[in-house]
Amino acid sequence: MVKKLLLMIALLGICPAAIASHTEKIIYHLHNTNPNSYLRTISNLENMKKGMPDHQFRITILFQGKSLQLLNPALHPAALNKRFLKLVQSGIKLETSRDNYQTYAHKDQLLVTPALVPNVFDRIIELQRQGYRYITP
Amino acid sequence: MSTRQDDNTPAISDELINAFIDRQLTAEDRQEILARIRTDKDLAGRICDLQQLKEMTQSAFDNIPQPAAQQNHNTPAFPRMAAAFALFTVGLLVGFGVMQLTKSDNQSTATFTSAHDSITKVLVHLTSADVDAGMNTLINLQQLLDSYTRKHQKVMVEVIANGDGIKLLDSKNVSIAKRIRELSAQHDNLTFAACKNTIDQMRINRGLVVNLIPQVKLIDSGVVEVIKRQNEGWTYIRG
Repeated sequence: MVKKLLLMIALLGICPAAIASHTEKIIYHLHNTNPNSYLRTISNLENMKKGMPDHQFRITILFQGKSLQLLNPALHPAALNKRFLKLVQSGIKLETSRDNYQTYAHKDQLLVTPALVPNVFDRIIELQRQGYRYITP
Repeated sequence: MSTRQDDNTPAISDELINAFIDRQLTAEDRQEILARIRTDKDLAGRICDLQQLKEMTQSAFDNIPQPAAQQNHNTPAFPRMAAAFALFTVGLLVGFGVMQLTKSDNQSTATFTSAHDSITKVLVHLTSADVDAGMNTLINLQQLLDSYTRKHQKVMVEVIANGDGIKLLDSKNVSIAKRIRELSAQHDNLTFAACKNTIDQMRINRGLVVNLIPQVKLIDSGVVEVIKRQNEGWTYIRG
């Protein structure tokens, strides 16, 4: 009985780490206004989730400069916006810098409002240190 | 196996005697056997023999040492709790170790090396001629460098241009050139480099002549430098 209890406690220690080892952490860095980048990002993320169903994901999309305007739903077909919203609802984070937001965002036109960080480059460095993989679509 | 004392009394089997000794009989059956014992010496003797045999067997097994697990039942709770905690810690460490081993990308290892050196090394890769995007990259670089200066942390930044990114570093881009001049004057930990292969190909294939901004140094191959820096642990950012 005691042996079983000890084994269970030890497994409790192992399990969270084992689960964490299957978490994929990825940064998507958008830095231009090319709608194809937006489309590629959405397709990539959808494919990734389909291709690795047993993985957990922590994904952050970082919008630099004018790329923030890609969040204007009027620039894209409704179906694409719907796909993007579905991804956001699944837990994907959106971030941009305060300067970018003040300079480029038309607040009433954003499909989703991103979280604000002091500096996009600093944030990329920080996330890569945390083990995030870096992708520019 | 049953015996008879005489022809009128029913036989009492060994099973029944065993049940009597083990106190597994009903009160009524037990009383009946006790009554028979008083009159039946043979039965009394059989019961005595079986009782002795059971006691001898019991005492023989009592001398066998108890298994360790059973002995542990008698130990105090604290050592068991300590053992549980130790196992939990070992479990955590093993799990964490496995998690680290599964990180096979060079980036994590490389970034760790950079952090260990306490100098953050950043490679910014320019591949587009988009002046607005280029200017935004320089603004972000300025903020990054200022932030590290404020925090008294060390950072090295190398901006490498190849492909169409070379056009950004042409002196014709006055606003970009001005910004690069200012940044280079303020930060000696910031360098700009342009790919010689790209410049040569532009001249040969398209007849384009690039006059680099003076603060930009020439390197043989942009792509080789990008790979080399990443292998050295530099954090990669596309500008």
